[in-house]
Amino acid sequence: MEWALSIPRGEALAWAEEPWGINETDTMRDVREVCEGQLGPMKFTRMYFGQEFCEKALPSQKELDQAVALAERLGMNFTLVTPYVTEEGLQVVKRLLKQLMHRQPMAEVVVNDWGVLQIIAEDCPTLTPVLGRLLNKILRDPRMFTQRKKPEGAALERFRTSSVAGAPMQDLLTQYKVRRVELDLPPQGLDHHLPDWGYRSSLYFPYGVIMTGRICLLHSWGLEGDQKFKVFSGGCDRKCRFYWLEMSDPSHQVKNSNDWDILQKGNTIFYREHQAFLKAGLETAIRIGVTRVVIQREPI
Amino acid sequence: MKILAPVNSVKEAKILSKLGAEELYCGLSERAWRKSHGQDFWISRRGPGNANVESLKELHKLVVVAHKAGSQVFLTLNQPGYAPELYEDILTTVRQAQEYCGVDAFIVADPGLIRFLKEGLPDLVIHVSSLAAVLNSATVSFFSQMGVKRIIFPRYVELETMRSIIDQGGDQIEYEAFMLNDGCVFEEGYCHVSHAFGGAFCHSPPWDYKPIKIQGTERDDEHLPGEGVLRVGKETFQEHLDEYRRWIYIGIHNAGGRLGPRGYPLGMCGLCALNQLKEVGVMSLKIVGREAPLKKKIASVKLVKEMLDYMEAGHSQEDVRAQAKLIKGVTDLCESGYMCYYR
Repeated sequence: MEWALSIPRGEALAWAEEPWGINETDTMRDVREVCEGQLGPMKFTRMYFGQEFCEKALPSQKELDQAVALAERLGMNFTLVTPYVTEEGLQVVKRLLKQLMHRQPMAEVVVNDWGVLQIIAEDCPTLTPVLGRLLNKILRDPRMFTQRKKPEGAALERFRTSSVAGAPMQDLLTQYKVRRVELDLPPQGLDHHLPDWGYRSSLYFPYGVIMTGRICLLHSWGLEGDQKFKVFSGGCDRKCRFYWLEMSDPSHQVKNSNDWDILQKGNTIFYREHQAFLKAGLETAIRIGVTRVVIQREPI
Repeated sequence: MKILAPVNSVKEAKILSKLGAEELYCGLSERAWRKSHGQDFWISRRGPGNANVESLKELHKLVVVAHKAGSQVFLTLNQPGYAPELYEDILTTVRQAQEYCGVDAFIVADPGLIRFLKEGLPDLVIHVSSLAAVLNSATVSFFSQMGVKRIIFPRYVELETMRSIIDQGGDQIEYEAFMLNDGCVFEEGYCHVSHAFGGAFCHSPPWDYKPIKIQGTERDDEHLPGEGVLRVGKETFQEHLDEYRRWIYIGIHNAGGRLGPRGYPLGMCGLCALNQLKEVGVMSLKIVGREAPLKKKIASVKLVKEMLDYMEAGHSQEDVRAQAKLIKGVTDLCESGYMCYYR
C-alpha cells in the first residue's frame, strides 16, 4: 500500500516531518492504529499538496515551490491537489500547473473539475491527471443506512458503483490519460468489483465528502449582512484554517451513527469515520486492490 | 431571451406556454422504471410524484400541446452520475422520448451518459445540466467536444464570469441561467446526497453547529475580555448562525413559501440582472420548481414575462431593478440580498 500524506496548505508543510502531529488527536490515533494494525509501520512516500474544495485556498506559486522542494528533500513523490474552480481560480490553477510541469514534468495532479482536466490535456500534457473524489459521483449520504430500509442485493451494488466504472467513462478518461481514480469510503461500502473498473484507485481517510459549495458559512462570519452568504471575487481570510463546526440534529431526523460524526470545515460538510468503520473499510480496500491511502489530518 | 418553465402535465404545458414560456422542461418517472430499479433510483434529481410526468404516453401528449403553442420541451436526466448498468435503459427511454414523443432536447450532467447517448443517437440535442458544475470556460470546452448544444450555468455564477465564459465559448453553444425560485446552499453538482433519503440534507434538518477551535490556532482577538464566546469582530458565532438561518429561510426556503402582495413567489430571483444577462449572451431563463403547485408556476412565469417585456421595451438596468422590487412588493427582503441569485 502506498501511503500519501495530505498537506492542504503551505502553512502546514511542517506536517511532512511530523505527520501524526506533535499532540496526536484521537482521530489521528484511530487512523494510525487501524492502518498500522493491518499493514504494519507506515511510511509516507507521497505528499498530496493542496485541497479539493475551494479556489480561495489555492497555494501560491512560492508555496508550491516550497512543497515540491520539501517532497524532494524527504524523498516523497509529489501530487498537487486541485479544487473545482471558476474563471478566477482557473487562471491560478493554470499558472500552478505550468510551474509544476516545469519543475516535475510527470507529477501527478488530482483533478476535481472537468475544466482542469481539459487544461492538463491541452496545455500540460506531461502531467499525470488523477480523477479526484468530487468527480466520482458515488452517493455519500449518511442517511442511507440510518433513515430507511437499507438497500440490499442489486440495489446496494448499484449504490456502490459509479459512472466511472462504465465503458463510456473509461473511454473518456483514457482519452484524458486518467489511470487512477479516487474514492471515499461511502456509508454503503466499497464496490467489490472495483478491480473491474479498470483503474488504479486511492482511498481517503478519515474524512468523506458529503457536499461542498462556493457559499461559505465560515467566510461570512463577521461580515455585514449584505456581504454574507454569497459567492465573491478576490481573497478570503480563510477562517476555515481555525475551526471545525460540529453538526448535530436536535430533531433526530438524521440519526447519530456509531460509524461517523458529521462536521463542516469551511465550505464543505464531511463525515469523519470512526475506528471500526475505518477498519472494516481498510480490510475491504486491501482485498479489492486499492493501492493508495491518502491520510488527511485536515481536509482543508 | 426565452422563459424556461417546469411542467409535470399536459395541463401545465398548455397554460404556461400560453402565458409566455417558450421552453418547458420536465422529468419522467415511469412505473416500469420504478419497478425495475426501485423507489430510490430516480432517473432525475426529483422522485415520483408532482415533479415528474408519469409515462411516455403523457409526455407525448405534453409535447404535442407544447409544440402547437410554439414551445419546446426538454427532458431532464440530471443525476450527476448513473450506475453504468442503467445506461441502456436510459438510452431506450431517450430514444422513445425523442422519436415517439418528440422531445426537443435532453438535460444531462453525467459526461459518460452524454457520450453514450450521442453514440447511440448522434443527432440527439443535449443541454449540459447545472449538475455538471460548468463554472469555467475550460469546462465548456470539455463538454463542447461531446457535441452538446447548451450549457446551463449553475446557481450564483457571477455575471462577469458568465461573460468571460460565453466570450470564449464560441457561437455554437447556447447558455441558460437561473432566474427564479429555490436556491441551493451548496453546489448541486458537488452534492453527494439524494433527496430520496429525506430531502435536502443541507438545510433539512435545521442543523445545530458548534464551532471547535483547532488546537494551536488561537488568536488574541477572538474573545472579549472575560467572555468565553468566540467572536469574529463584534459578531458571535450564534449571531452569525441566526443570520445564516434567516438566509436559508428567505432564499432557500422561498421565504417560507409565502407569496408577495401581488401574488408573486418569493425566494431566489435574478430579475434585477435581466439587462446584464441579455448583454452577456444568456438566451434562456430558468424557473425552478418541477414539484411546485401550478399556481406558483403560473405566478412565476407571469412575473418573469412581465419583467422581460419591461426590459425589452428599452428600460435601463436601474429601472428594471426598481420595477422588479416594486412588483414583488417586498422591498425589505429584496434589500437584504438574501433572495438574489446575482448580487
